[in-house]
Amino acid sequence: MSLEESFSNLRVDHQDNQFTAHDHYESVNSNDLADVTQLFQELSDRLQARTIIKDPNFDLFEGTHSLEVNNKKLDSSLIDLTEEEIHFDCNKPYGFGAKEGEWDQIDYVSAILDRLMRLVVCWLNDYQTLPTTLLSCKYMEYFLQKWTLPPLDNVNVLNTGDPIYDDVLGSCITGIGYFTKFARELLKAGVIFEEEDLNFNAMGLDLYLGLPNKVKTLKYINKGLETLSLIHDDKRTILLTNILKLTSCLVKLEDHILFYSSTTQHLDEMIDLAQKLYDEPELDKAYPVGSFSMEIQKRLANQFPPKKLVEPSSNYDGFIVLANDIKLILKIAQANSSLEIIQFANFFNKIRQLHVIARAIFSLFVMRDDRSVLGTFTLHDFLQAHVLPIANNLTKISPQIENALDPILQDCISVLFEWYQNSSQNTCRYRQGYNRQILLWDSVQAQLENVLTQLGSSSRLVVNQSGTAQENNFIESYASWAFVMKLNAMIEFTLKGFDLDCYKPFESYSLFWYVYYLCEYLQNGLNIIETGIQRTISDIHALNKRMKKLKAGEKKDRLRDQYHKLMELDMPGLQDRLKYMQYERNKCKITQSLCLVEVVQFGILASYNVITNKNPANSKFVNDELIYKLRFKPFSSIGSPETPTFTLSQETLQKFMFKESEFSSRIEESLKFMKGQLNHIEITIGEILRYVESDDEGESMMTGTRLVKEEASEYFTQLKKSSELLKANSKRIVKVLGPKPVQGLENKFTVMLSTSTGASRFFPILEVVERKPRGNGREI
Amino acid sequence: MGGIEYKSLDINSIRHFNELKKLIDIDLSEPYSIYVYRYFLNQWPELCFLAFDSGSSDDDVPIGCIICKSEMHRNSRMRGYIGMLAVEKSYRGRGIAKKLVEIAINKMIDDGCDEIMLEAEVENKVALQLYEGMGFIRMKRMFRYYLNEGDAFKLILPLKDKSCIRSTFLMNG
Ligand SMILES: CC(C)(COP(=O)(O)OP(=O)(O)OC[C@H]1O[C@@H](n2cnc3c(N)ncnc32)[C@H](O)[C@@H]1OP(=O)(O)O)[C@@H](O)C(=O)NCCC(=O)NCCS
Repeated sequence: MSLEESFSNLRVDHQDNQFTAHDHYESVNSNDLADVTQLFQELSDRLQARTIIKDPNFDLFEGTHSLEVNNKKLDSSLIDLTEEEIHFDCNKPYGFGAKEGEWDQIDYVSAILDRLMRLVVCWLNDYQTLPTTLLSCKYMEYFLQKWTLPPLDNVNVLNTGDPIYDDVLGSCITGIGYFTKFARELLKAGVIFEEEDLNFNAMGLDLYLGLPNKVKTLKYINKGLETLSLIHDDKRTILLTNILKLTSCLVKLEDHILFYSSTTQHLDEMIDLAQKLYDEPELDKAYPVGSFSMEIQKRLANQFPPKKLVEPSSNYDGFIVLANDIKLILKIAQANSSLEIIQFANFFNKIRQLHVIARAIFSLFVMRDDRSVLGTFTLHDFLQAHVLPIANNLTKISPQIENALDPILQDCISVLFEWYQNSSQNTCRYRQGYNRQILLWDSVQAQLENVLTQLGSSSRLVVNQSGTAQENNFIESYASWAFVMKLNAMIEFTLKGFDLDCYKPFESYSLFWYVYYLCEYLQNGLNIIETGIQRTISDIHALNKRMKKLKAGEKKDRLRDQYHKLMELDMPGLQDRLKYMQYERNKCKITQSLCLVEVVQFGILASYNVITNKNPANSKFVNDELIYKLRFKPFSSIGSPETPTFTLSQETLQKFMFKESEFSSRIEESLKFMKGQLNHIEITIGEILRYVESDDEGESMMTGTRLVKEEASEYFTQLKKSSELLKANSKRIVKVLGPKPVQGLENKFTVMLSTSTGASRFFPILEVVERKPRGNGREI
Repeated sequence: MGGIEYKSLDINSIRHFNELKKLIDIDLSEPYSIYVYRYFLNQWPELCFLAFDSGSSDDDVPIGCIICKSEMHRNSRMRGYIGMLAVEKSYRGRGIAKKLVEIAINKMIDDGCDEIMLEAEVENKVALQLYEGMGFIRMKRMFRYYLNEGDAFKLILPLKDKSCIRSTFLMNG
């Protein structure tokens, strides 16, 4: 028979989508098989060592994930399975009834579900893969397999005849399956990322066609609970009841993105149940042999190397993290103002990376399918709401200019959305997001300034004089806003690099100095905005004076009405905006002073000769100027503020260094200066903390952090701790290195960037450490 | 003990191929498939260097190797890439890796690379120290980059100005 003929005769039956190895092979008649060995051998003989057979679209990335036949570490078909694993039958009620000393069905079901529940935590909280966690459960696979077909009338896919299996185990698996579908929806929405945030290698079992809907699933779980209520076995029925209830809490999570529900009842229940399950002593009974296995990796479409199963620990507290983090993000629904939304996004995920499900819900909960924000703002409103805390809102703009601005405002909306999406990303992506945003904000700012320039030259032909001034103010507000957002993005990107341990001590000088320099611009930007707000306030007061000068009459009445309206509607908002600006300026001042102290300390350490701002690597490939430029690459295209050149950065360090002759006096001065700076910011931080903790009770500042009080408090408390550590470091430097630099210090000491618990990771301390010889005689 | 000799790969030597694969696989929790090796070695054999101990009884077994490639990155700059590097345990700490990296970088400089890039696990302190000691800097951190769950740093050694300009602007220019 020719090869072609054999292939055409080969009839592989995969009607039910099932390719179980054993029964698949059994069903193929050996006469139908074609022997291709010789053909392959002939072809491979003709291959040259250099030849690679690959699809043109196959790239290295895919290559690093490629598998290899017959390589035990890379070929999942070589996984060894036990007889029990191969022949495990989901429709058999494992267990021996209530015979004394034997394991009962309820023992087995408890052990299976207890393990499965803990595997949910391994999958989500510990970022493990699906096949090594949930899919390792034969029942999970069996159900998902059934759901690849359209729904059956009966939600129950098990048929063991034992209600402990059919109702209790069956409903729990259905509930968990339902939840996995929700997790897959989150991934599909593109707000979190496959592999790094969540693994969803479902091996083709993610069709969910036959999955019952939510109502049926919850009803099924209730049936399971009823079954349990009829059994008189305290220990295990309590455990199983708690597990089933916890499952129904998981099923309900989708409500937050389907109906934008901000109800937290099921989350509180989840916390309570998880705590109970966590407190339970571990089960002494094992799950039936074969019910958890690597088998699925061997049998189904698997693009990954074999991976050992995850052994879950006693980790029910992972559900508490999940529930608390979702509760935290739902608080955004209580926002009373755009400022509270902004501050929420600023702080909720800043210091501690939230649970992946909570981060995903955040994005979808805030930016809704109907293209609204939190269901209350249109995109346009939302943009304005953003600019409003800092804009002059008395402006009426002409339709012509509105049209001209529209595409730019659309761009503003896109960047703003990116900013929001970025706030919920994992900690590494978060920094990269800012890297991209720097360009986007820069472009938006440039476009707005361009319109301003054009208005200045030709607009008088279209609009009258006073209109122009108002419109200029309006556009200026947007431009200043974009500038401030850009500077914040640049500062955040740079400082986040310290948090992620991306910099070496020698680089810290130029980076801290750069942030100090950016803060200078930010402070100016904030001042301009504040002046704008004050101008608007004065305009309103001027209206009052103008009105008083008028004689009684219609005009005076009109002006009085306008004045009262403005005083009533706009003035409180304007006052709040001024207070918010005060907060922003204080925050900027804190960052700036911390950076300044860092560079002063660097200067001192450089004067002692224990560090330089040049790469200490002793290699011919080192080119300090190129390294500097590479580090500043994200900012290289930014015109305003101009990126300091390498030479400038070198020169500035000289200013912070002392000559030997003036060492004693200058170090004295510097220590005093730093102490003054740090004392001052500690007072400011204390002030901010007071406002944060009292929900902005007071006249001078507004933080808008009511909904993220704890997170904002923690952020500023950490800054305070860093300030204290910097103070201590000033003293320590002199103590360790002596009153004056002496020869050879650089051989004895080096400098490390160190962080301590409770302190800000954005401002590590330049700590002097003794050089120690490495194990092999070399130094670290 | 004899000296260490450094040679570029002879693509036709199946023995060297198998030995270097062994050398690298031993340190990986999940090994690369043969495809990955072939992908690098067949396309860039001149960017693979092996170290041999001339004093050893089997002086044809490599005791260290580096595998690289160089390609146009985003149509804007020539990027050299260090894919794998390993030195046999008993030979570590003698400057062999450093020498291999140096040879490879020199070759990539000769080939006109604008920068050299690689990824290293955050936990691989030895590798980080090795590369940073040659002028590489950490450009970004990648969350759970490796299948074995660790974060990684992307490191770059800039060789020319082109390395320091965002590729968006190089492409436009
Ligand atoms: C990384 C590896 C290749 C280094 O090989 P090696 O020949 O021992 O390294 P060298 O002797 O050339 O040392 C070069 C530099 O590495 C660093 N280094 C080497 N051993 C070190 C150690 N034990 N601790 C800290 N740093 C070390 C040092 O910076 C050293 O330079 P120095 O001696 O001038 O200080 C080797 O350890 C290895 O094969 N590791 C497993 C595979 C691996 O991790 N590869 C890198 C993947 S990116």
